[in-house]
Amino acid sequence: METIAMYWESKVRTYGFQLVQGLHLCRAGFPMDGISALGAFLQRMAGNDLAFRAVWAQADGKGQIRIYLLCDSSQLSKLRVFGSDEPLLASDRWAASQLVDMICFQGPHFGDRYGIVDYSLKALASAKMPVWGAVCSTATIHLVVPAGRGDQAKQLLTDAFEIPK
Amino acid sequence: MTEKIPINGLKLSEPLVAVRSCSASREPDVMGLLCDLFARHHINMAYMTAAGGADALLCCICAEDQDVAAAHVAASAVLKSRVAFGEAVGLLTFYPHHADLSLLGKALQILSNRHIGILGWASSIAALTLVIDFEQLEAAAESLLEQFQLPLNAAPLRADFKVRQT
Repeated sequence: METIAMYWESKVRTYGFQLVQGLHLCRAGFPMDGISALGAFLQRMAGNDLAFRAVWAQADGKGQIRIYLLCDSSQLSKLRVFGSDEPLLASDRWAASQLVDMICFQGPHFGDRYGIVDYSLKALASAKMPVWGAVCSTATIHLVVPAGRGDQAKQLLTDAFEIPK
Repeated sequence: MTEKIPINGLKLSEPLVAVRSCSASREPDVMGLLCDLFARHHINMAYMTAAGGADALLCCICAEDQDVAAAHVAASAVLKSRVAFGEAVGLLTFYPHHADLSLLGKALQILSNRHIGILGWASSIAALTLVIDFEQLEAAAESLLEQFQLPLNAAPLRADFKVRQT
């Protein structure tokens, strides 16, 4: 059976915004044929109590997959220490992190509806807010902005969206 | 025998198409332009990851939207040389991840050892979603469920939902 849901919203509704400030955006490249070894590496990192705020990866179509990890400062030092022993990684790759703020929000069927991320990006673009990363997965959107800009980004989004009381 | 890892749910998407840009988001703003184009033509992105600078954008749209999307991209002077339509893919989503890398690591190891094509992955608040070669999506779910345990009487969910917007 197919269920159809319809939306008429002059302002897109969200359940609210979560802002996390002062995170590190770390990235590293792996060969596509090294995904199994990457999986083992991630499990070993988890064994060292390394937690993430967000993680994503994408193949570049040229035999590499690039992984991005958003973590707190306390986790970054573990990543550096542990990653330096990882033969898959050049020792300095995880170290090349950027200090960022992250805004995370979700709403009803965000993953099934066109235009939600565009609506969000336009709200930020109105103030020339740089967006260093964006992840849309299930009904959740993560937006990564430079450190120190998160409060302004959250306000821009709060003005654009409706948060039902 | 190793104990299975408990998860609360696993979901498989409908057929999708991977769309890539290899000159992501700063100058020109490929991410912004592509999101604007898809929104104007009512094309949903079921999934997207992007990072600025010299990195790339990966998004997934419904397979039935591919022809319309490709025609509009081809008509864009900026996007036509920067955006490519690629593989047939599906999304495999399981939850919860508890912000713990071990579940992701285990899934990558299981799927890679079965030679299942993985184009990317992303976390959401509670779930992990992997972008999988669509031909291998069912096999991917079966492989994971050999080592991940759904709750009693639960089964993988499949897309059975359409959202219509005006």
